[in-house]
Amino acid sequence: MVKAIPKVSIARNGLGSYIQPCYKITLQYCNWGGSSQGLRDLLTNGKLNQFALNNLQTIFEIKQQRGHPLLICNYNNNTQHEVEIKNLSDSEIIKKLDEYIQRSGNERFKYNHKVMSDNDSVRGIWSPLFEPKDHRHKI
Amino acid sequence: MFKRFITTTTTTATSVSPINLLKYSSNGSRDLYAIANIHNLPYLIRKGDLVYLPYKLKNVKVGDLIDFKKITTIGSPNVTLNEKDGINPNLLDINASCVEITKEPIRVKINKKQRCRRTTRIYDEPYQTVIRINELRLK
Amino acid sequence: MFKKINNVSTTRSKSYALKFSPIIIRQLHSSILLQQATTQKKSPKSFDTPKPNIKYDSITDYQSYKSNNIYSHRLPESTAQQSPPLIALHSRLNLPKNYSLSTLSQALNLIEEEEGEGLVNNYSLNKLGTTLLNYFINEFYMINYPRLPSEIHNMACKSLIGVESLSSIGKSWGIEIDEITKLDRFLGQENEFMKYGRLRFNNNKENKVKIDGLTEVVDSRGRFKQEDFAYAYAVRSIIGGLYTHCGEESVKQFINDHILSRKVKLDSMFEFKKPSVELINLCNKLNFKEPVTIKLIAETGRLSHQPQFLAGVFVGNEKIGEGIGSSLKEAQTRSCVNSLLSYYLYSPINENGDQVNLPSDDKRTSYKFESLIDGGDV
Repeated sequence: MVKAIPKVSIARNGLGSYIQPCYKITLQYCNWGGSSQGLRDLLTNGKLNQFALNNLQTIFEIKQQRGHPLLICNYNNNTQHEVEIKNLSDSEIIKKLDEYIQRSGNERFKYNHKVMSDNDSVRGIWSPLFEPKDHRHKI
Repeated sequence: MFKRFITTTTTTATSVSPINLLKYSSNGSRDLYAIANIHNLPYLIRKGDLVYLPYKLKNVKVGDLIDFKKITTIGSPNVTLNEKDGINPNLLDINASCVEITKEPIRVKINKKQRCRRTTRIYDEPYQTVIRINELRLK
Repeated sequence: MFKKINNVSTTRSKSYALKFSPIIIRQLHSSILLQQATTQKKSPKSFDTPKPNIKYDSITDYQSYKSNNIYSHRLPESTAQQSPPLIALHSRLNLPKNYSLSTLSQALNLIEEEEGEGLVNNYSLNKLGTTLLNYFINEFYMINYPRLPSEIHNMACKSLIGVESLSSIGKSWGIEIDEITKLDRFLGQENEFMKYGRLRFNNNKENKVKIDGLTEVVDSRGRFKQEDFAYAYAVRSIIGGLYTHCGEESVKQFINDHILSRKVKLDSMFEFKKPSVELINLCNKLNFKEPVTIKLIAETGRLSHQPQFLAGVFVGNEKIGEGIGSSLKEAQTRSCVNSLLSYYLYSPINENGDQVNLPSDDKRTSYKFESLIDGGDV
């Protein structure tokens, strides 16, 4: 009698469990260029190891390629963010990593309301027809 | 549709305590909303909602659970409980988890003085914190 | 009128309690024992060829399961610990420490033992995960929405544990597909341990010709790719692995956190062909003595281009549903649909006003369906 319409459930990350969207970061450096000096310092002085141990959820991949250094952040919504880190010192690169690891990979946008919700309204949508006829607003 | 029929058993229970009235009318905390104050601004929230805060919460990292100190209102389809100075936190179970810490899209303001051809550009990239309501339940 | 509904629902509750008395998951251990005993007795009589005796050192300890296949083996824990994607996945899912990395690696392996390196694949873990998921999700909907029609119930379960949603869960867990060719790996492009943390399945890459606008599909309806099935397999077997290492409690918590936390819009799943006829049939089934009538409660602007009507469904003097529409017929059908929905989507609460306990919540053997039977909106 009743037919069912197929629907897929909607993911709500952060409800019950939280999974960090940034799962992989590729650090791309150049062995020769001066703009990669900070990244090369970071790789040699062991700061990156410490950072990676504190963030076990993400994989850090190191890649050598000529040109300016890059951070390529992979997110679980099939997006990649490329961050330029040329001429940055090692502590500045750590700050960048910390910033991009906490993002969700969605496009940045300004939300002009406070709360985004896909729940139904608790009180229902008000209509003047629910009022008794004597109390209704008259034009 | 708007008025849920209350059976005889519920009416006897309501005479016991006012919080039970909320419990019964919200169908076991399924239809429940709360108004929580964050930095003195009210936010109407339900379970599973995303709250966009246009600043960076202090000492909060992604994945942390956040407690609300001040909740002024809890409401079900028929009943509301208001308390100006905040509802007793032992009555309800409410927390949120930090989902994302990003920045809003960059916005540029061009300052131009009169009778001067030079313009100054001010770049602004404010932080944005997104939290998801993890639990909203009457105890 | 309410008394009648009360009676109906109590009988329903009894039938559910009866349905739930044989809990499959609880008796999983004992059933394995039984099967073992029966096969050992029967085997010398029924089969001429001697079968290898399968012996388990301990039933709860998955590590000690011995496979009867000589060629297959499990990945050593020391090798699994050198694979960064495995460690990352383990900590991303916040799995307990005694969930071994080699089981996690096994859960990601779909290649059959004869074809690959001889590593054990996730076939058995997938079976276990499927039964666990089916049990917990079905239990949740049976108890929390006891009046759902069976078709909607099945669709609601499918929307949570169907291939589409499970594959999207797998992708959100950051599991990558092992796409690097053997030649590249041989040339030393990548560490050999990396692949143990990736999703491995027979991708048939050689036969594929990539043309723009053409996508490979496997399902007959053309919705799912091969990788979607692989992701669903992986998710199910990770859940199965959690059961083998940590038991039922933690699996239940995991399913609650990761799968039942997803949003299912039940009210948009219903499709009524003739709502008014169905409502009358329903009221007949519930033995209402007075006939169902639909009345116009309020209206504005009947002669304007934007009229609004509010119709209500009444049984005697009781109103059981309302609906607003821009024509009389629309208001009528909306009111019928609303009252049908409010009957079907009824969810019970117990005497304290809390949500009802599930049979698996109760540690005692006898589960009592404790709920305050509410008439609902109908």
